[in-house]
Amino acid sequence: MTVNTRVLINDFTYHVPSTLAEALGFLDQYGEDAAVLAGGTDLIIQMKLGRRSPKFLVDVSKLEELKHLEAGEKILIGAGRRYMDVLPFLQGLGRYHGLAEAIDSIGKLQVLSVATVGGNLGNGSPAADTPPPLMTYDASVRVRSAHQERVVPLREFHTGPGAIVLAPNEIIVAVEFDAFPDGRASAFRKLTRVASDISKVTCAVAVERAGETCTHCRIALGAVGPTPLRARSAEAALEGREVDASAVEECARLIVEEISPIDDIRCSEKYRREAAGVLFRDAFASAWERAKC
Amino acid sequence: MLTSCTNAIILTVNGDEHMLVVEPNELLINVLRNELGLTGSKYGCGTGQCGACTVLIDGEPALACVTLAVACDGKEIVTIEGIARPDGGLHPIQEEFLGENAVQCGFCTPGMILMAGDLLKRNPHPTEPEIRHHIKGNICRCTGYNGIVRAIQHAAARMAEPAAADGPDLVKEAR
Ligand SMILES: Cc1cc2nc3c(=O)[nH]c(=O)nc-3n(C[C@H](O)[C@H](O)[C@H](O)COP(=O)(O)OP(=O)(O)OC[C@H]3O[C@@H](n4cnc5c(N)ncnc54)[C@H](O)[C@@H]3O)c2cc1C
Ligand code: FES
Ligand code: FES
Repeated sequence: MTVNTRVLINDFTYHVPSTLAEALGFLDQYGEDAAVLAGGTDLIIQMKLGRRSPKFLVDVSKLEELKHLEAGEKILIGAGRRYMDVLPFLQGLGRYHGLAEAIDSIGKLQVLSVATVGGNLGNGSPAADTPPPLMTYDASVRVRSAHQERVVPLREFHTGPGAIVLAPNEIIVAVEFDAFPDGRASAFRKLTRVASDISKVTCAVAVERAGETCTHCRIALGAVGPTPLRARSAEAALEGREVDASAVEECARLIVEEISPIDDIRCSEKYRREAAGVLFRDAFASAWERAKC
Repeated sequence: MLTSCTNAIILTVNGDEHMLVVEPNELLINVLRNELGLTGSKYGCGTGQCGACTVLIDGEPALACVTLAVACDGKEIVTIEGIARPDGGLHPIQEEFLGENAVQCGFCTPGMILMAGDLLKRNPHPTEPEIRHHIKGNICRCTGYNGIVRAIQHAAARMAEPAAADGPDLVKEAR
């Protein structure tokens, strides 16, 4: 069937609840037939392409419960906050460069003005830009249903390409992580085909240093496996070690071995492996330098 | 036919309020073009790639091809038709696009001009990299970007002159 992206052919009922309880009630009632609509920059396109055809759309854009932005012992970002609000919030805090760089890299301003972090997680794409930096922050996803609230570590959130642990009656409320201790810093790098396109490879790094010794290290990558992933052997190789050129090279080599990229329309598996090493070196150098002060 | 599935919405488009009855699956771009006859916003890719369908929603640039009309209930939309002066005279950005021959087929032009206006509202004195960053999500397949960038530079210079202060203001219109 040829796809006509100028119309939405499937019929659905649209709900725009004003409270989270009401939204959760709809999801409980409709189950698999419902989809949550935030900015729509993924969902509407998937519906146009015939990949999804929900019978009910529950628009969460009016829910104040999804709009918290808090900076205390924990940094909490409401799932329904648009990138254009989250970015200045992070920039104002000044420390969370990796996540800020990931959001800033979403090239299209027309997308930043409507799209949300909740949608980026809810879409479950292995190439999504915010999960790798959030993973380097050991972030958790706060999830609600009509019956319970649970907090899922982000590293357990993605289960496969486009697949996440969310049940059909659950809504992502927020993503949260511990505020950085002094001396921790992060960075994010990505490669794309053109300025505003989905990533070919991404790499995020968070480090802490005592002089030239790396005392804490997190490395996460996107678009190089079925889910966004942590490079654990590489992290272990750096943590507690004096950082010099050979340590960074060994780490890059471990990353290239640890990832499992595929060939697709954007680039080849071989290219992705090479590029992952390059992006890591770059992201690491930037985070390491930032951690100095 | 009115079914239980249709929704009554109010859209303020370029300052005019419209009461409309829409199906939930109607896209904002189609309502603007087909119901309201505002064909300035162009329908290109339909998948968020090209930026031809750019409009301002509550003052922020957005893609009308991935926006449900029903989700815009109560919102203010500005399209390229809302940019010209009330007497039909062109906005300085439009004049500079003409002056620089930054228009060939014109398909990208409404989106480019709205993004240029959005940029100059936030940053009246943009550098060339800032201009290119702001129109990154808008694809032109014929003129090339150099003329477009020059047009925006000239418009910025003109709009910064004190005399331009009484010209139409994208900021005010967007609010
Ligand atoms: C031109 C263009 C460029 C893009 N560039 C990038 C890019 O550079 N990097 C990138 O990562 N992405 C990019 N994207 C993809 C997309 O914009 C992002 O993934 C965005 O974060 C999605 O957010 P949204 O609010 O629009 O989500 P929606 O499309 O509304 O939702 C996406 C999915 O998440 C679910 N969902 C949304 N909110 C919740 C919630 N609170 N609880 C549970 N489920 C929820 C929805 O049901 C749906 O399955 C781009 C898209 C376009 C069109
Ligand atoms: S038509 Fe909307 S982005 Fe191309
Ligand atoms: S003038 Fe033809 S696409 Fe830009």
